[in-house]
Amino acid sequence: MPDQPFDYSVVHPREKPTAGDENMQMSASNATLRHLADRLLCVRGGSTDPSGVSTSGFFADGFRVVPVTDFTPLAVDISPGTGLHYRASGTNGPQRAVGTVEGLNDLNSLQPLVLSQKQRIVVDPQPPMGTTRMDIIEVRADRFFADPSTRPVFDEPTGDFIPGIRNKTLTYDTFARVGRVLAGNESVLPISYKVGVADVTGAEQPPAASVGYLRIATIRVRNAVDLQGGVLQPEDLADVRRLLFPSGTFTGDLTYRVSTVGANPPTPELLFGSVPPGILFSLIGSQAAGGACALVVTGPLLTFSAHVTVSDLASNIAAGDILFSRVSSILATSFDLGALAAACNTAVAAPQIRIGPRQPGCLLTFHTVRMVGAAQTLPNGTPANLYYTITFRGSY
Amino acid sequence: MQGPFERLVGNYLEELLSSDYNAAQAQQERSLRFLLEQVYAARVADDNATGAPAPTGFIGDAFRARPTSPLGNSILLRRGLGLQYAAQVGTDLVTQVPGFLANTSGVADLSPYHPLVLLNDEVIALDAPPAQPNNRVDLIEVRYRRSAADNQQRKQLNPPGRNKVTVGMNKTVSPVMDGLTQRFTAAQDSTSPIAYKVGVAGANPVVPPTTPGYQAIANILVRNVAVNPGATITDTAIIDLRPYLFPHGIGEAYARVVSTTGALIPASVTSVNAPPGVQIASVARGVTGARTDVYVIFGSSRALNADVSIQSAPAAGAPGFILPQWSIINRTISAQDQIDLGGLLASPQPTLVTIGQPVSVVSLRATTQNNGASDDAPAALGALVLYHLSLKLLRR
Repeated sequence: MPDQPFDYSVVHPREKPTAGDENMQMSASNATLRHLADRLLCVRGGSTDPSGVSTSGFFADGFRVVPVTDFTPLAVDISPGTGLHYRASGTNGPQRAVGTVEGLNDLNSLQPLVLSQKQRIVVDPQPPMGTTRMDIIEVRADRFFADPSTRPVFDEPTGDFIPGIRNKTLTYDTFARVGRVLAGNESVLPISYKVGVADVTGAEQPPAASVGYLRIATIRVRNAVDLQGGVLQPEDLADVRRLLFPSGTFTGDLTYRVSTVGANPPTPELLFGSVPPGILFSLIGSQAAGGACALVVTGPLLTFSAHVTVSDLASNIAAGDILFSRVSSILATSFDLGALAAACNTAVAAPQIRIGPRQPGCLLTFHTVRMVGAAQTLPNGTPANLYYTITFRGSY
Repeated sequence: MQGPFERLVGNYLEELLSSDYNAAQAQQERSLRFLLEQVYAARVADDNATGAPAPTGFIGDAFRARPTSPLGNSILLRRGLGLQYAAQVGTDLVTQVPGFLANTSGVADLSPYHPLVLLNDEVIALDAPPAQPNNRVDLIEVRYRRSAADNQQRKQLNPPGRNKVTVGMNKTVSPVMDGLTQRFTAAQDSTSPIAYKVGVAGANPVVPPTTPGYQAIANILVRNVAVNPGATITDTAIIDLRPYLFPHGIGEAYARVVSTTGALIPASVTSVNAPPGVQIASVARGVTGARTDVYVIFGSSRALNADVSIQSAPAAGAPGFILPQWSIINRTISAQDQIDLGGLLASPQPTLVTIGQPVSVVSLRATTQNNGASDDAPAALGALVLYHLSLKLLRR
């Protein structure tokens, strides 16, 4: 059967194609496209393992969970978009003759995850005072028949075509296929809201992900004292989606102007940025002495790297002086950002973003040193502005 | 139809012919392969911006020859996808590929960019090792496959009798190469999609010639049992000859190398952001100047551009800054390289490579600069020097 990548089916002279042939043709095209996507998006096995490994993930902001701020009770929205779920088995996993329809094969393990429109999920009520709860949203690929239509269908006993209702579309859309389960239970529906167990604030933990599901967000549900107004805030959500890039790697380039006047923390201003969609970043002026800055990049990254150069376009340093940047540290594997998350939404951050302490991300810290003759100084105020070019790479 | 992206149209009340069904699929695949051709075309040369014809190559670690596990006198080819550019000698598959019924029309291969498809790891058993004192070099080569497959009994119109008769016919055009390995001698031209070509044993064995129309992907050094008593094939016996496919011929990679000064110990390679199949390893070379050689192996390609920066600051209390110095050489793995990479100064340890494997070597060194004076003593450099390598992998 033409069910492998780049196969295509043949119809011979004077042969009347069957419905199975028609289905097979589309199945073959579909298998080719998904195989190609699998090979283009596969990732390394690790830093020292160059083997290509198939992976699951999401494109851009597809399936990104955001808080609903104009709606009560508590709710979140899942952004429409696309992902790919690599799974060899599971509910509605790879299968030949889906729904016993001849030729309707879905054999590639890289299955589409589609959300055609914004999906709202109402969150369980806030926990008692003194406690907090961590919920999660997880998803899996799915498919089902849709688009019922009345079509003439051959009736073998009579030899006539009789109108009959047939589903004309096999869809992967997960919209409105939402379930809710409590922690300790396995999710069932393609989009699943899993309610955690409230615990003393600070000790709350998210429920475990279900087998065969991809966790896309954690939701911190604070009690009515800590979260007044009954509306979730961006800081209550953590985006834990793995994003899809060719070979699992992406690059971002940023140009900043950073003011280092006086003893205040340096103030960054983003001049130019080229960062793929789905990734948040913020440069924080973290330390006055030496104009130290910290770049936060969100995402559950496996590796993160960066390269920083500094210049002084204003040319207000003395002749003979030299500026050079020093990378203080790179935390190259993602971690929960914790207190850093709040710093991303302060006056010394650019852009100012609102993320939560459970948000996974990576961190680069750096500063500039000025050589004045034989001496080495920190560039407080001279020059007034530093121009940084930062190139960073991450991989999932 | 003249070119890619054109579509066959079925008109109102028109009875579609078998050739229409076939042509529609052929056209769809032509469009997809045309698109890949555009994506992978590289410029002709540094001083020539023209796009060269789409290159033959492999995505990630597809078709990469590896030792089997457990080790044996055998290898495996990693599953994946390659593309082979082969000028068309005709597009009609019915005349080129045996197995289709006469007069079948529209079954065509309209793109010169052919998929090389391996769905599962392919294990290849090798000929027994030669007698002492000889050795042997074998060759693995591949070419695209197009075959008629999936024979079925189908009904076909019989014009003389105005009835339908059951006829056996192949229903699939398949490029899948799984299980299609055959063995050939050095003097023979290969004929199977995956060919294992056995070299001639000798004191100085030579590689069998590549069959016209084939792409060589690996050389295997088969040592005699006196040298290799277990008759096993390891990574010290496999030369990866696969050309890589990168969009527009340029791939990107990143690695961090942590070199220790004042002690001759391995410089760890961490945070590798690189496409699958790319191998990066280091060998520490000296105490002073934190000298390290970084080996980058990506098939037969061995050209890269590197940008190196240093994260470290000078030793505590020392003024100035640290500058990286580096050089790049493209060559093949030497006997000394093999010893070094397999030794105690390598990272990862051991890194097994084969003499003759194309490689790019980036030699790193660090030095402090302080108002015109340089110093590469460990006391000036500090305990660790952290190099950041930003690499462009070029298909040359």
